[in-house]
Amino acid sequence: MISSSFLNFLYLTLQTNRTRHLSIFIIGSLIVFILSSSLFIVSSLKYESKKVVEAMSDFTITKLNHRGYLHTSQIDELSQKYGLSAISSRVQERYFTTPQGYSFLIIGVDFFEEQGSKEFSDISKRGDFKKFLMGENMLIGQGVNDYLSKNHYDKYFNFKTPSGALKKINIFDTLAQNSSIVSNDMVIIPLSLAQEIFGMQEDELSSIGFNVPNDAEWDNVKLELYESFYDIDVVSKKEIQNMYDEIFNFKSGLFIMLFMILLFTYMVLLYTKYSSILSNEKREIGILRAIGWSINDVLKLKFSEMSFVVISSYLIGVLSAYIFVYIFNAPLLSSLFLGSSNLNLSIIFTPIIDMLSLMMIFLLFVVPFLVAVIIPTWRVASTNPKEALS
Amino acid sequence: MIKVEKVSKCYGEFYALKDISFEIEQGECVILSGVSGSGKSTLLSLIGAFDKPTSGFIEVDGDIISKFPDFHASTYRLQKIGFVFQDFNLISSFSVKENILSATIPLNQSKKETNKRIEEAMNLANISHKAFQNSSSLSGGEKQRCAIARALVNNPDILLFDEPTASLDAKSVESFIKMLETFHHMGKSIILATHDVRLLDLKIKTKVIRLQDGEIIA
Repeated sequence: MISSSFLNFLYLTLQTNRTRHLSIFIIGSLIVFILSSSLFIVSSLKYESKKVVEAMSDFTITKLNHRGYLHTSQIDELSQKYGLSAISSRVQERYFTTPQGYSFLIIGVDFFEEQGSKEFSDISKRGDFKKFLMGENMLIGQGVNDYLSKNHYDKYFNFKTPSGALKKINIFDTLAQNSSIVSNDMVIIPLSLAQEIFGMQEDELSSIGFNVPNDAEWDNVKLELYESFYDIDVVSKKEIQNMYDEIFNFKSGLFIMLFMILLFTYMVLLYTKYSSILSNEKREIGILRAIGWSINDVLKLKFSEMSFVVISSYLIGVLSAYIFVYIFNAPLLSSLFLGSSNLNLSIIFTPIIDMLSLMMIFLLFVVPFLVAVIIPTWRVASTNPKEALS
Repeated sequence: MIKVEKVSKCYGEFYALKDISFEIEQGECVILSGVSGSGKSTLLSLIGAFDKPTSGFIEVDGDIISKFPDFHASTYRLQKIGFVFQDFNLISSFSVKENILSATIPLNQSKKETNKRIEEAMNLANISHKAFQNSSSLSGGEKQRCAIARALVNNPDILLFDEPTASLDAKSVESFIKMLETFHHMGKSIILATHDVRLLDLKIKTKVIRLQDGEIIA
């Protein structure tokens, strides 16, 4: 039971040692802020990539090493195979603007196929495909939009075909900014327009997507396809998701480096606190013990004192990281995770709270700190009060 | 009643106290006198349960305090003992009132009760006027009065003073002696460890125990 007198005394000790407590609070908040910011960024990026990948076809087939195109006749062959559904055709090629050399990822989609419209309706803000299909329109990623606006293409863009002719395509909408990690340089247009831009024949495709509703058959389907078509690559959406995860995990290697540096700083801080208790606070603990405080009373005071400082620095660190990442979109820090990009990449991070990771930061931060206070306090408090006073 | 029975305290091969035995009745004032190193402070710390004797025992109101485990020793120091140290042992960053407050915390009393006790203790020790002054800026006499108020705040039966006049001027000694008389009239048992001869002529009835080389000589 904590009495009001105890709280009063706790406030007093916090006030008395406010310079030291304030320095621990500031350093602690900074450590938690950096760790939590990194955590929030990685969680948000993983969430967005997962959401986009989930909406994709289960499998995508491309020509082996992207040499040449697939043929629409292969769609018919696939549709005859048992267990495959929602087969969709796709043109997916990179278009290079000149002379700057920036590139867009043009995705030509057959919007009449169910899978095509489902996949992109999730990342388009308007998703009004009837209107979209009525003209020669395109959906563009945020990076493409920024690039075109900068070059005064606010309503349309003229794509140059291999024959030298210009193909004017209207900007219908931009893709949602929180999906920018995947869609930043994307241009989504109807399949036939994409074929025209790249000078492809009507029966030529870059890729074919399809679903396999029975998860247990995924590996078998892949093997069977490799046997049927010797010159193709088959990629499952699980593999794409793994690729994204690996990228973010690699980037979070930086985070781990940062964490190690912070942990080292933290250990120095712990050591300072430890030494401070043994020297400066030894006499104070000795006095309290001499006037009737039990070991438990002393531990309770020191535990409460440090809990207040450490927990409040943890909460402030997490809260400021939340504001920094999800309200201000993590200026400076986000570039560490997003890296360099073909087009300017600006992302709106979707607020994702990973409770397990926050708990892990709490345990890594708060527990060692409290232990580092409790053990030396206990050692001093359990010695003879006269010895502690001397 | 305090009963000290065949108490010895040795540090390695050195005997600080040898076979000490005496009794102190409730309300009695006892002066432990002797030169430096005679064992006065050691005896006082044993009665204050800061340390345990090597042999023998100390009994206070029927409890053998020399065998108390740490928690009980703390409770004993908190409730039965008021100890005034030679160098006062005040927390320098605290004010007078905060130093006195520190002795009341383990009792878990209400704020009202705590404040009442602190006021009473400060009045008895005549330090109320310095309540909010930082203890590090007090004079020697004021520091002692602050330490006395802290010792009195939990209304203990026994008051222990270790060399109480060592760092006081003549005027402060006079005022301290008056305070001792008041505590005596309140029925407190008082034990003073001192080599100051001025304290041997107190108006109140005192028992003097003379120590030399850890033994009672008179």
